[in-house]
Amino acid sequence: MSVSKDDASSALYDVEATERRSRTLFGYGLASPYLLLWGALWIVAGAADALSTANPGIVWGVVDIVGLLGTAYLIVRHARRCGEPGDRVRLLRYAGSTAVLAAFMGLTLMIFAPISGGKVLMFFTLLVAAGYAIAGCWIGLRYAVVGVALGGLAVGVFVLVPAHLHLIVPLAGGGALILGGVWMRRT
Amino acid sequence: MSAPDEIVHQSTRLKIMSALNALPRREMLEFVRLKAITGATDGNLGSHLTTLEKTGYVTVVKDFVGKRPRTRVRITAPGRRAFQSHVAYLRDILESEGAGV
Repeated sequence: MSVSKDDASSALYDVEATERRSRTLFGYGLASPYLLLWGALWIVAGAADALSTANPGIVWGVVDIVGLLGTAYLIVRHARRCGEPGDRVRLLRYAGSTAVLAAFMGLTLMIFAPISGGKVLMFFTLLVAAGYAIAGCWIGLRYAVVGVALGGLAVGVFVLVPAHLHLIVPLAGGGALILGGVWMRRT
Repeated sequence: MSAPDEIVHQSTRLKIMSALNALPRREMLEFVRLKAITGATDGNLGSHLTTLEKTGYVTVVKDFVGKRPRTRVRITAPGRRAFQSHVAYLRDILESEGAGV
């Protein structure tokens, strides 16, 4: 068997393109449960906030804690599935990242205080949307689609029906994350 | 210089092996996803998978999820070695001819 330089070059191009596509689709499959988890929790939090008389801070706090614990579980499962050792190191990195994000959000809200609940919700939503859009620029187009859809929906609600922001943004945002998660799970 | 592998070199089989090699060890790829990645038809993909399975380069696992049949494919250790050796052979061709220019 003899392979020419052109054939070798073309075959290597195919190998690299196929490996890249395979890794991207595998990554979508891994990301899917995170989107499904947070999408569902967002809808639950939005509905509970709208329907109950409990303090919104408590509702969102409980949902955030459930989401953070669920995310920790998914991180460990993800690492084991990929055969990567070091659960403890991964969880420490996750805890560090969460602490940085919480500090950033807390300090930003403190700087801009007083700020309405609706604007806090919009800020968090747009931050998440921007995160997905940026991820889309680097690791896969589908993240960008989710980010743009999420941001677009939130801004649309903010402009068109601001009176129902507290209910519609979590429902639409959670729905967008769930749809994104299902899309990433499929081919 | 590494040796060429005629089984791996065929275009669709090279794509199948590339897609599987990119995954972590023990991880499987569903037939549907493999079809999307390689751009092959059902029959073509099935035929090449049979060739690779007979050579011992991949393992094909068939089961059911509820009532739906599911086919998943995993690269074997000899398959990964053969693929990596063939890719090294292709790189050698480019480097050796490039060095001579």
